[in-house]
Amino acid sequence: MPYLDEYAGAWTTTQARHLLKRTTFGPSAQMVDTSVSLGLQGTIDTLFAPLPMPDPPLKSIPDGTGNNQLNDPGAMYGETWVNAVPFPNINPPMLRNRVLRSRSKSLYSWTVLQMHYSDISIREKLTLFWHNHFVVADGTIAHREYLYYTLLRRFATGNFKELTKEITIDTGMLFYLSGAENTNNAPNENYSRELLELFTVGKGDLAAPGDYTNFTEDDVIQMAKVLTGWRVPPVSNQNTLTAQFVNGNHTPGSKQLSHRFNNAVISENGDQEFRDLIDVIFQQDECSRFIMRKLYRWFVHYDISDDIEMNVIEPLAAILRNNNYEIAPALQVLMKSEHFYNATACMIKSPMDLMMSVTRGLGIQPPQGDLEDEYDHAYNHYIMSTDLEQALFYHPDVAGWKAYYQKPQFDKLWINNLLLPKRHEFCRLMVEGGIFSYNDVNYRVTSLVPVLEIVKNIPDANDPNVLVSSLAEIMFNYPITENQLTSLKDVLIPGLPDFEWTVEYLDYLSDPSNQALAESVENKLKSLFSVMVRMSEFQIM
Amino acid sequence: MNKVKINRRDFLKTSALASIPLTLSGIPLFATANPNSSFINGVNDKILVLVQLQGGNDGLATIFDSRQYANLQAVRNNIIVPESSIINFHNEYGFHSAMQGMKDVWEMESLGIVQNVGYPNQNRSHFRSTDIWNSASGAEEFISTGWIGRFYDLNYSDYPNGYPNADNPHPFALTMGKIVSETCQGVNANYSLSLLDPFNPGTALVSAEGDIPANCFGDALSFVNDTVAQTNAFASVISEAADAGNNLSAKWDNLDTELAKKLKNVARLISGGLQTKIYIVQLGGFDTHDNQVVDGETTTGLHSELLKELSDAICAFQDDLNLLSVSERVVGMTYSEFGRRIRSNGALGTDHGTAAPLFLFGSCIKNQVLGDHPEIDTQVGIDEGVPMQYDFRDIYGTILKDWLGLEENNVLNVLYPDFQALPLFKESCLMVNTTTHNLLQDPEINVYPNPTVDKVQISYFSKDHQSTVRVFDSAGGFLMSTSVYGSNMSQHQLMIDLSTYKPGSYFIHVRNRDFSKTKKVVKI
Repeated sequence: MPYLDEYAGAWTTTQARHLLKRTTFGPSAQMVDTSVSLGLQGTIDTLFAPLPMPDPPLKSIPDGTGNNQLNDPGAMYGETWVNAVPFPNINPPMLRNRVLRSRSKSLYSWTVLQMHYSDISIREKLTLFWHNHFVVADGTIAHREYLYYTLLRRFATGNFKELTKEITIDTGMLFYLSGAENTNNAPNENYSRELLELFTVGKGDLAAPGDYTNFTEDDVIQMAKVLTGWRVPPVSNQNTLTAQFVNGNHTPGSKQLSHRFNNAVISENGDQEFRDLIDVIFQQDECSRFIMRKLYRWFVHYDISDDIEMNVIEPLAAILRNNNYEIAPALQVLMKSEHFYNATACMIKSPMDLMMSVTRGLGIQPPQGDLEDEYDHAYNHYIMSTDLEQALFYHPDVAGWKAYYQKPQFDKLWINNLLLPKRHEFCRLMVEGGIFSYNDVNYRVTSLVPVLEIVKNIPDANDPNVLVSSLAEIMFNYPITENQLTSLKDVLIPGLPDFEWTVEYLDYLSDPSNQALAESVENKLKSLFSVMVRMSEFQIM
Repeated sequence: MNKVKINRRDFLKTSALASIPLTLSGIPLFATANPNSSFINGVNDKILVLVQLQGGNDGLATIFDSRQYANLQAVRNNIIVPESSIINFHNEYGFHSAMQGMKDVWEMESLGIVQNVGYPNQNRSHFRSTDIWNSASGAEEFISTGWIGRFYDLNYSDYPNGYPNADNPHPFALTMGKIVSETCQGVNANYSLSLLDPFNPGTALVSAEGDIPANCFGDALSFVNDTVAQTNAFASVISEAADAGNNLSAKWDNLDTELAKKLKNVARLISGGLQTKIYIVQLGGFDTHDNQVVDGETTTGLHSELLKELSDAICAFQDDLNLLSVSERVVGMTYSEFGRRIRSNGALGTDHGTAAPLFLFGSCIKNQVLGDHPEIDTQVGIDEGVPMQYDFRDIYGTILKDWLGLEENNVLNVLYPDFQALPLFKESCLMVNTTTHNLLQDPEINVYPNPTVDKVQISYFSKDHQSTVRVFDSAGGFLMSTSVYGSNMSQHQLMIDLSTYKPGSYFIHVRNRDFSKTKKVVKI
């Protein structure tokens, strides 16, 4: 089996769509077409091309003191709040909390908007990967979350080792895993344990008491000492967004690691000591395998057989090491490989993938022109994903979403008797419009799917067989059966023969300005879309 | 990944249960051969409620022993609650001040406490240790099914194909949350459904199904299709039970916590006739590395709030079950992936530890404190946790055997071959008294000399002729094991050589058919 040999087969919409589904969120038909014309190498180059940082999140709530208005002293409507004081002096505190909440809401909406607006680029998908890898889920102030997510985005296609160093002294992380509490007098192992177990080498089999093959309990204790001394100034302090090193809180002297790290000694090195430590950790080859397995599960499939371990993970890990932990070269090899295109595509969509596939994937863009509408649209999307158990900035715990690690279910954990009806309902709402509620708040969804536009791009859409199978090709991984085709035609034109659709659609095409005709065709198509996005096939990518 | 299916015919050949008929109510008989289990009209209608405390509960701040208070105060001065605030409930035992509810359950004679529950080679990773507790595996093995899942796999390994059906119209298990509990993972599927609102379980659109190819796409597709079918099929029985059910306890009135809401729904569904045997509720937030207590006001803070939420909810639940006249059918058990360190850290918190107490509740639960309160040494090392006395699988196994009516040989298969039953249930709830439950309450284990420089002599009185003696390090790591043989009803002794180990604390764990007990020995 060729595995990582470069894919040499045809480059059609099928391969292009597969690549873009996995590397972006809910690719639009236009993105797929572009990728087909770019070819495989061209698409890879575009996916990994460096991009400027996006413009910062904006205040999208109108100024004022009314119910749906807000006075943020740091930002007027349409301005960004990221340069404002993180914890403004507003009284009463209830009012301040409203301002802080509105900033968080703006950040979450803006994060979803970046997924919508990133075209053929892997950056947002990788940023979310790092968010699920270096989890910080503290419900902290929006400024901290913004800086944290920006750090992940900056390193999204970059160097794993360097990102590990930067995230170690990210103020959100210092809070989340108690690093800010870790002092010489009171060592706290929370971060050092997860640094090893979840972030770098992973936990191997128990080789001896307290020895997990890749590290030992003693390493956890010693590394906690290396990491002592970092603190975060109080939130009211203007420097609260920058970690400070306090030498008096740092454990002096050398720290001895176990044989799992070749008995390395981390010498006293003040505020640079943690960097020395991370360099030592990354000398262990297991780091490269650990992260490659996780990337493989994110981009390809959860099941890593011995075969995959040997023929895919191991060689990719070698590429990663040879590139000093720059992740792009290894990922590019994976995404150009025979294996990537020949393996059966059977990933259950994460909530974010699902919601993006039913929006951008069906030609829905956030409304333009009205900032509030634009952000609200994205916020709906954020809330839906949250209700489906993929809450950005609020992971269930430091291990991230279970779908990416919990055996034996993995991505099946996105779906159960409670979540599936919700997934169906949110997909239906995106097509039909309506209202949903979450935590006793109602959210309105406007039907924006441009069904007529989509169908216009399908040649011979006047034949309902062509229409339905073409839509299935856009929405599903594999062709539908005859039986499903018949059933879907019956949704389009209940109880009527095929030619009824042909006649009606051709009438509409010849007179598109006829409101009644357009509406009739549109309603039929929406019914069809509404069912298709609730089919089991749509849950998989 | 391909599905691994148990060959149903092979299973039937080896199963004694195969020919047992279904009862009129449609619940198949579990393990009727077991004389110890309780049946009403020949049907095991028992229900188990699992309360998972996520994050690692600090047992030493949950239950206190006045004889150990001073020493405990010496090693966790910054977080310990004042002695005067502790709620005494039995002899020298007391609860954290937030746990009046638990005291009330004790007064109802419906609370059992098992001290120092854990497993050999304690893993201090949340995730791995949670997997161990949910799967009931040993620390060295990786089992992808849950212990409840394997219990159901014995008879229903085809699930979900063909369920619900006339014989099994109700869900096997319900997780009161958005994600199903791993305890219920079986070979093919998870036996649990998720439930938030019992009145509105949610339905899924049924659409035309396509071919199921024999690959991972087919696997995923059939999983989704099955979920659609199950969702719709079980939704009506759940909402019917919710409509038919009731809550009667006034104690719910002032409880607005998530745990209370979930347990209230469980009581309602049980009273409404839902035949689901397993319910799982979860309470998160026990990972109290910092701010476990408020500085200077140690009876308040995160841990106190959690203990209050837990105690109040269980108290209201038990009261409700009593008023609904279903209490003799329901028991509950709390569990958490580990206890916490004996020494507190400098951040008003505690780090990952080893064993911890576990609560059993229900009117059939023996009102007792089983096991020894941990002895606190003021010189305790920084990495030291509470040593294990009882293996959690012995508690699971006793529940499976005495409560859910599983035959002992199947308990060994579902859990582990070393299973030993514990006296957890009231005799009145069991059909027949059983000799394995006559544990010696206070066997004395003598360790001499202690501290020692190399060897220690261990002696104890044993009713059983055979014991297993194991040595653990201070973090619960397993070091060595030896079998000791002697006469029944006699003094047993052996010599253990610690000379190859580095100086520090070690735990000698003696286990036989009559007791499990741990003794600390210090090597200098």
